[in-house]
Amino acid sequence: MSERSRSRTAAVLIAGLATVLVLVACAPTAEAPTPTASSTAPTPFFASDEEALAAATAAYESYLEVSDQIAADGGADPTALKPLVSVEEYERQEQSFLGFTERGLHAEGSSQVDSERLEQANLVVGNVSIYLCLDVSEVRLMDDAGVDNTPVDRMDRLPLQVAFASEGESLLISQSSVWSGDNFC
Amino acid sequence: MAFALLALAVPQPASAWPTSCNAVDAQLGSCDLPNPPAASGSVDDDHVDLSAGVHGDTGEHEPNVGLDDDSNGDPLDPVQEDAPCDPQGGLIACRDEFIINLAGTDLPWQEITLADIASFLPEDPEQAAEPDGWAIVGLPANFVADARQHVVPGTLLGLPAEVRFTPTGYLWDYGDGSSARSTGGGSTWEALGLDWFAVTSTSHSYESRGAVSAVLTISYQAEYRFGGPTWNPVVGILDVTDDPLAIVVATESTVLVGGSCGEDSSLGC
Repeated sequence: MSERSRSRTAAVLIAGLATVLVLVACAPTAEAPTPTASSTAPTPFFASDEEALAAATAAYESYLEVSDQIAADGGADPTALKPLVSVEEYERQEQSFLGFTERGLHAEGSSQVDSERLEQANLVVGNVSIYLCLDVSEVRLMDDAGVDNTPVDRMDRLPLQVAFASEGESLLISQSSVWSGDNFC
Repeated sequence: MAFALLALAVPQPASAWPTSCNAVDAQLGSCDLPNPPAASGSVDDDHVDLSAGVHGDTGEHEPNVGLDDDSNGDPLDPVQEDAPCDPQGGLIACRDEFIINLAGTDLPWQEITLADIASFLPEDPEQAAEPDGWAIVGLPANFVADARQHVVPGTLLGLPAEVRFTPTGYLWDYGDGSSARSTGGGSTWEALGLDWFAVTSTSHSYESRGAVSAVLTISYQAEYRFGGPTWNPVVGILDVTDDPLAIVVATESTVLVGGSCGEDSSLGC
């Protein structure tokens, strides 16, 4: 079936233009994520890509657990995230929790993560970025009166790109954003 | 050398995407998938073209045109230095960055659209006739079309796009100079619970012997969706023609004495 659809990229000149122009389409840069191997060194932070992915996955799961607990408490005190995220990311998290506190909401249910894949890892330094699917379908936003305020148009599954940086023995989340390529979730 | 470069930077779709999305943002519903550029669909003969693009003059970045000596005073920004796909710095169009560099001679200001077009072909229809390959003069031959609503996937600007084809009409050219239209594709005698040579909504009785080619044309209505769950109508109807179906029209006596039936218990035996 798919071979029936032909796709081509075209650059179209709207205004009249007699001059012949040559356009060359470049390879897309926002295609599906591809894991990248990294160099090795005598005392690497990670022994392998697999270990890097496992560590990042574990770090993200720890983060989700703590974040969900804070959200369940209404988001007023996010300090428990501090050991899990970078300073900059902690500020963003604080901002995000205002969405709970300013509206008097708290979360019920827990977030899930699946389909983790390694984007790239610096095994020596310990910096890792991974792709994952964040699933918040079981999380409801309740107000104090017990009314469900969950947005009806919320995307319940999101393809995220999450970067981690090593600090001491641990991995901290340094960035988390929606993957801008094809939705793999 | 009168060498002009036109550089155009259209904001990337990524610029509209949230830069940050953590679990709390996701729970609050403030993480959205990127909004793809608006698409439009059109019928072109036997296929549907979906197109989407970004106009060069609609972005935050003003298109810049200038001669290489910048003598006209126009802002000159001939090459996007941050363009990641600029191998030669010459004639180039980068789809995902939506950056075009065009080199030419004394180019006036141009409005440019960098677009993506994808063509979507419906499935080939298939027709069958009962009896298979032959018919008897004066008795109904039953024509059946195998066509159904189907979705053809593809990509547009690197994002999933789909076109859904729905058969809405059937034009039966029986090959003997007569034709008929129906809104349904017909069914086999067995499926209809009818005996052979029964009249159906898509049957036809040939009036004389000979070899004919029956041709079926199916009209499809098309819809598309791109970057969302909603199907959008495509204006126009696609007429898709099947390969001719060869049918030998014989008289009843010819069929009945024409061969040995053996263990075949079909008609005439």
